[in-house]
Amino acid sequence: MTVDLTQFHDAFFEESFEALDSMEAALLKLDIGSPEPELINTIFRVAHSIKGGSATFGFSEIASFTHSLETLLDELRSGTMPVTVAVSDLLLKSVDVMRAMLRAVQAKQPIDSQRVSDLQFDLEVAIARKSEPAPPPAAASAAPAGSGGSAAAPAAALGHWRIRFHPYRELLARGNDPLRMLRELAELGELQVRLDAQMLPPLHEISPQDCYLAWTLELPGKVPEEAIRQVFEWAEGDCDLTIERLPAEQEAPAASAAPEPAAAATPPPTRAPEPQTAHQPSSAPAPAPAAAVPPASRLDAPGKSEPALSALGDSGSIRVSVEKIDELMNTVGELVITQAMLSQLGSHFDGPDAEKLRAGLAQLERNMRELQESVMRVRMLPISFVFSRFPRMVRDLTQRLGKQIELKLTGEQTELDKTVLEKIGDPLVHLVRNCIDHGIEYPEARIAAGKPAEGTVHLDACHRGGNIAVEVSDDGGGLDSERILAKARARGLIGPNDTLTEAQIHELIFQPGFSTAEKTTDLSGRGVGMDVVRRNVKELGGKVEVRSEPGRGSRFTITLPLTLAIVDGQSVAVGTETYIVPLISIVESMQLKPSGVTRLSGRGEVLSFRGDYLPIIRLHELFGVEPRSRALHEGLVVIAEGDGRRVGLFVDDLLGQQQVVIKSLEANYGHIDGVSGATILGDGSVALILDVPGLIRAASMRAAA
Amino acid sequence: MKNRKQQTPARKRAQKRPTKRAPARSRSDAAPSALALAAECTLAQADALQAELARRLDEPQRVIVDVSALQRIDTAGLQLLAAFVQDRRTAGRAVEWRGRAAALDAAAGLLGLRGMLELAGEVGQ
Amino acid sequence: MSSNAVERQQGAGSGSHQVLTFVLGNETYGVDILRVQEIRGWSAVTKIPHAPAHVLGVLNLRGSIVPIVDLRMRFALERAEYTAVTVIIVMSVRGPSGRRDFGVVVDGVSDVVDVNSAEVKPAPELGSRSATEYIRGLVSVAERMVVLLDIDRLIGRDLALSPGGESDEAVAASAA
Repeated sequence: MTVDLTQFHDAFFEESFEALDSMEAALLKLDIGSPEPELINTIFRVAHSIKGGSATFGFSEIASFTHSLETLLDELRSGTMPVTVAVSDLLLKSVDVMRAMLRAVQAKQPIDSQRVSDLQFDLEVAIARKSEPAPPPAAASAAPAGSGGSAAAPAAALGHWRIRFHPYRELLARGNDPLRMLRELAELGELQVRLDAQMLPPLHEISPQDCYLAWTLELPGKVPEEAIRQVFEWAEGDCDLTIERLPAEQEAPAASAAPEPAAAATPPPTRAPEPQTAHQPSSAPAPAPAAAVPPASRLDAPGKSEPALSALGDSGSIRVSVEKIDELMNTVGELVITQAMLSQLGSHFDGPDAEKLRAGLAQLERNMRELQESVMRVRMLPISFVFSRFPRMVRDLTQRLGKQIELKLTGEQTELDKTVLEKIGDPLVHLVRNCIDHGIEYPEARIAAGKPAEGTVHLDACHRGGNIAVEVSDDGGGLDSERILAKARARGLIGPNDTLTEAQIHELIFQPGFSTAEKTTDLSGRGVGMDVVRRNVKELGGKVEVRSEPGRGSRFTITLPLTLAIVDGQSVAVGTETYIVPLISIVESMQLKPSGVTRLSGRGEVLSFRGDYLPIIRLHELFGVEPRSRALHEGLVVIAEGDGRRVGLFVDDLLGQQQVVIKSLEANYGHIDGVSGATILGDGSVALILDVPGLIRAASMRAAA
Repeated sequence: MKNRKQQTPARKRAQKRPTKRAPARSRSDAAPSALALAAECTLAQADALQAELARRLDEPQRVIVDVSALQRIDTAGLQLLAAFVQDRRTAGRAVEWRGRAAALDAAAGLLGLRGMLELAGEVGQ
Repeated sequence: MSSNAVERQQGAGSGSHQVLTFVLGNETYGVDILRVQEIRGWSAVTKIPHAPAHVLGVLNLRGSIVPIVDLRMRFALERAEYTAVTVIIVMSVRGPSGRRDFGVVVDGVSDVVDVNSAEVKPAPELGSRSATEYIRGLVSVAERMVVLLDIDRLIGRDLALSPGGESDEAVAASAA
């Protein structure tokens, strides 16, 4: 009998979680002393929307809780309750509780009702305790559309907004109600409504949960566009929405032709072919309806002096499932391979048309590259999605520890692939916790060291040379080399007489089981941290490095490829085989002179590079391939690095550099040490993609054997 | 973008045609037919409302819609009422409203449906 | 491939199923047609380091990387030259981690035959446990003996071998 709404639950949950994130962000940004109304509005909207949606779907506990929350927020919004730290904490707790409730409902598990009612009680108490009633809310915001306002332009020297709201059929079924939205709009100002019911079928043909109506609305121009967009944000993807600002000068002549205020008679709808009898039941002054439809074109008149209306961006986005994008990426990957094959074939041709063919293929290659980049960008999201969880975390941690720390976030708009984004969160969390726990000193120690009592943790992201660099840095005490050395010796990681450079000492912290925290707090001192960070980053095809200065601070840099599916590689030839070495691992390639190689006892062949001796890995030995020559100076050496170590890879030749699509070897075969995957070359053959850290490990195991 | 819609399974279900004309008329010709709206006329009750309206669509007599019990209505409910009123009007038949419901007045006003619904007069908000 | 493949039913002793037969040396073997993805001619493979000798390497099969196994070597038969009629049967195997594709190099494919489960005789004890592990049974078809292979067991274990793992080849060789 009732509509089956369960299929829209997922979207509701997704949107609700996002909305809670923005509520939390707004709360953290809120300046208790002088709270910005915009932020409070944002918070209010979130509660309001979640309340509406949960009511539609019958999640009564959530609806009930958010109703109390909304009441409190309304008081804040209208100034009848001051914003205090206590209130802010209460609201943050509400975010947590709502998240928990949503998760429970989503997982079809029982809600922790005790927790909810406890907090709800606190909310009610806070509402009851608010200070003396403030003057009634501003008149303008209370005027609903039906106040019989005249068609004369309100004090809008700024003109007004024209909003075309055209829901898709399924808008209602997805838990949205135009009535609600128009009601909210009406709260923003004198709303004028014109209904478009052309698509409304006869009663028999109506599908009751479909929406057949559309509206053209006008709202005074002093309302910020963002406020209007927010009213519709839950319907994003379920409607066509155009918001345009009409300049003021054109309003006066239009006054008589403007759409009637909502309370007055609306012109007869033009939905049916039959002529409608003009029906004017209302006695209110109704401007001639026929003339009331201003030609649409006048609105787009050139003299638009306002800055681009879409400056706030994000108008018109749609949600797409990840599977669809993966499919798209796969297909594009296949296209890339096919195009490479064609290009290679094309080079074999001669004759009059060969040139044209090659030109065409070159064009194709350019098109493919653009297509590939476009598709990759589809999957990319700003890192702000990950960064956004940190303000809250830092706030909670610093409160708990009693330190003073300011979190700086930069480069939040830097985009990375969605999958990478999802997996980078945990390593970053660990690094930030590490900075807070071990890096930044307690205020007294800082002051004693001549530093400001408040420390800074800085999260930054940027594109660097075809990769993403994410940095976590602090101005704390830096890594304590002495302690690290001592610990490493105690653990037997290094010999008692080994001498290490500063950089090598710092690298030690990435060893498993390493932690120099004196007392392990429950935060990050367990010593399982850094090596897990490194492993996670490696799985993403990236690397993590550290730089530190005692007394000044530390900086951890995570370098990641732009996407997991593609790697920039250097093709190398070893005998008849071709391998791909990821560019991210390559430092330099060189030719060795016969004198450039030394044999060190216990370490095999080494070469000298920038003052260091690097071991040489003979790929032909490792892979059991017959090389063109075994003489090192007759081939080439690729200096590669992984896990903080550098080696020289001995190959016969360098072939080209190219972007290759990563294909899984493990799907059908299995894992091979030193190999991270495979790819298909232009001639259709398979080449293995090397994993430099794995190679280094495999080589040292062989050497040890 | 509109054809995205066609896949929703919920729609696949009976495009229920309440096709039945009003069965044998047992009332006298003079008595109008009345329909009292329930307290809630929202999306959840939309199917039922449509059926009720459809039953009275072809009544030759006046149809009186009594709204005194109505407390909540939304776009789905209003849409059906609007279609009902217009279908009746197209066939030259009457719909009368009995009683007053603040919810109906407010909602119809907001959605610009007062004209279509032929609600009488200006209602104080 | 048989168009009736869909109607096949498997399962011990319940009706008949279709089997693709192929030749290796002097023996005829058969595999369940449902597992066969396609049959293609020989093409060069990319070697995989540290793979067992009978795993020749990998091939690009319409975008997937598929390992290729030489069954002759797997069965410790004499190696043969790969000629123009050498054929790769691409099959899928069901392992603990799901479905995997792989190819086997054989001398040539023969017919697809109907095999009545009731006529399948168990393989005789050969004194080597490993051999009977991957033989489902023997059946006589047009006066020839066809050895029905259990592909999951035969290949499935090979595919995830780490370098230096023991292969059945060694065991078979020692038992032969």
